[in-house]
Amino acid sequence: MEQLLSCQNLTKRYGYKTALDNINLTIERGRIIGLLGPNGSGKTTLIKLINGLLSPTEGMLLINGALPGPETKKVVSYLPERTYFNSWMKVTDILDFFCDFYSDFDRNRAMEMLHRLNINEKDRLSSMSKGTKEKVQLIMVMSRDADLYCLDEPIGGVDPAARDYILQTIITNYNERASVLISTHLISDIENVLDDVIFIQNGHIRLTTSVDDIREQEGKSVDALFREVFRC
Amino acid sequence: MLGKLLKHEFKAVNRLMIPLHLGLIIITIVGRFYVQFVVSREHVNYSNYSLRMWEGIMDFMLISAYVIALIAIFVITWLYLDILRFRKNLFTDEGYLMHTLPASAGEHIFAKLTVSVVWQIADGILIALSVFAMILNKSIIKDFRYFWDGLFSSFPDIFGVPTGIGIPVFLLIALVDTIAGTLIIYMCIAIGHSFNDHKVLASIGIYMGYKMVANLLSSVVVALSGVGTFGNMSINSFFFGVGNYNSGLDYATYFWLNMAFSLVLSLILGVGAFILTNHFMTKRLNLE
Repeated sequence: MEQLLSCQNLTKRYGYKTALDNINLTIERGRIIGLLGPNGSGKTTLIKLINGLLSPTEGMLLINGALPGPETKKVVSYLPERTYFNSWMKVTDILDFFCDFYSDFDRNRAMEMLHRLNINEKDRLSSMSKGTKEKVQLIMVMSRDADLYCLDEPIGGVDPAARDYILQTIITNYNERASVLISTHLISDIENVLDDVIFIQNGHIRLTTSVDDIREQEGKSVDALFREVFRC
Repeated sequence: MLGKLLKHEFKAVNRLMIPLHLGLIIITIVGRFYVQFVVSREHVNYSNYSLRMWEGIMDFMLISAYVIALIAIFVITWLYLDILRFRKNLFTDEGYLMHTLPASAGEHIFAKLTVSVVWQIADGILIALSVFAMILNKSIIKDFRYFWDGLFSSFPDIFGVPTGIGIPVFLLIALVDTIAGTLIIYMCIAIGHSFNDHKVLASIGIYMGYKMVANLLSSVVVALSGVGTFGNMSINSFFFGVGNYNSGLDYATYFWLNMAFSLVLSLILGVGAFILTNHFMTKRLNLE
């Protein structure tokens, strides 16, 4: 199958601390992949490298065969683990912003999801709860027609009911040419939607496999396997 | 993409800049009415000393408040445009959004620079107009023509070039100097924020280091050139520099040497700062 993302000997060090150590990884199109690992394992570093927010210390990362840059940013939709909007912005301002900058942004899809989650477009972000802000951000990110969605802890601050709706949107919104990379430690919540998993620890990849293989060969859930692999 | 960045940059920056400068206009209008009131008062109370003393104190305090307000507006404008906006929008949480837009680092720098320079020019013009509106009266309007004629006739005597050439050259240098100064601050922020810790401290340290090197080089240039105050980029130094004229060159040559040197220096610094900012925003970006 066609490669969407490939990492070759990818290494990232912060000073003396090695966050990612010589990683080789490929991601194909049409998959939902869980990037799973304990805190500080390098999940966020990998996602930041994909989005060009960090530069590799060594090695290379290619998206559609190109180094991260303006061209790859057109096809990667990124949800960081923090709120990145100005608090003075109204939801409509954010919609305008995404419409202007991303040609693949579908305003109607976003408005439909906002409506479904009872978020008023006239509201300012400063008047919203943390969970609502996260929902707005996730809706914006998922309303793009991107090739690769990178979701860093997408459901951490969201209530379980909205969590289900959001996961549902993730599955229904992406097309067969796109892939979704989800980093989280809330494994049991998302394991039903995952095709593949990447276990990462201390900057090393411990395991890459499909969820079906785990179930068939190991006879356990991803959550159970995770607890086994990363036993403290 | 640059056009869209500019549009959204103006939208964000105008939220502070327009109210701030509307405030300036209101202060100017109120101040002007007060000046008018003071002028008319002069004829009424001149025999009551204690009242005149209190009026004098009040006038002084209001004038001080006006001057402080002008300085505050100038400083806030500069601080916000050159430092706060650039840092907050590109190197804090907002940077996660900005740096994942399909725009190059160069486009981000150009957008920020353009908006900053446009507002700095508007700020300068509005402050100058405010002061002018405050002191304007009939005799000044009458004298203004003499002042203007005097400026045109004396300018060539002092600088050796016609006024119509000299003033535009000064303005051009001021513009290039503003652009270079802004880019140098961007460079310090971009380099400082590539550090893993103490990013703000690092930015300030780099700026201070840059200033020290610049001052050192400038003194070296002054010493080598032997002409006097050459190397400082600000326009003031040219006005003062002419006083140090002792090189035996004629005024026009001195003027063009000074201008050319200043322009080339600003261009080199500006281009260098842009290249470094661009490099640190693409290759060494390090959002926490």
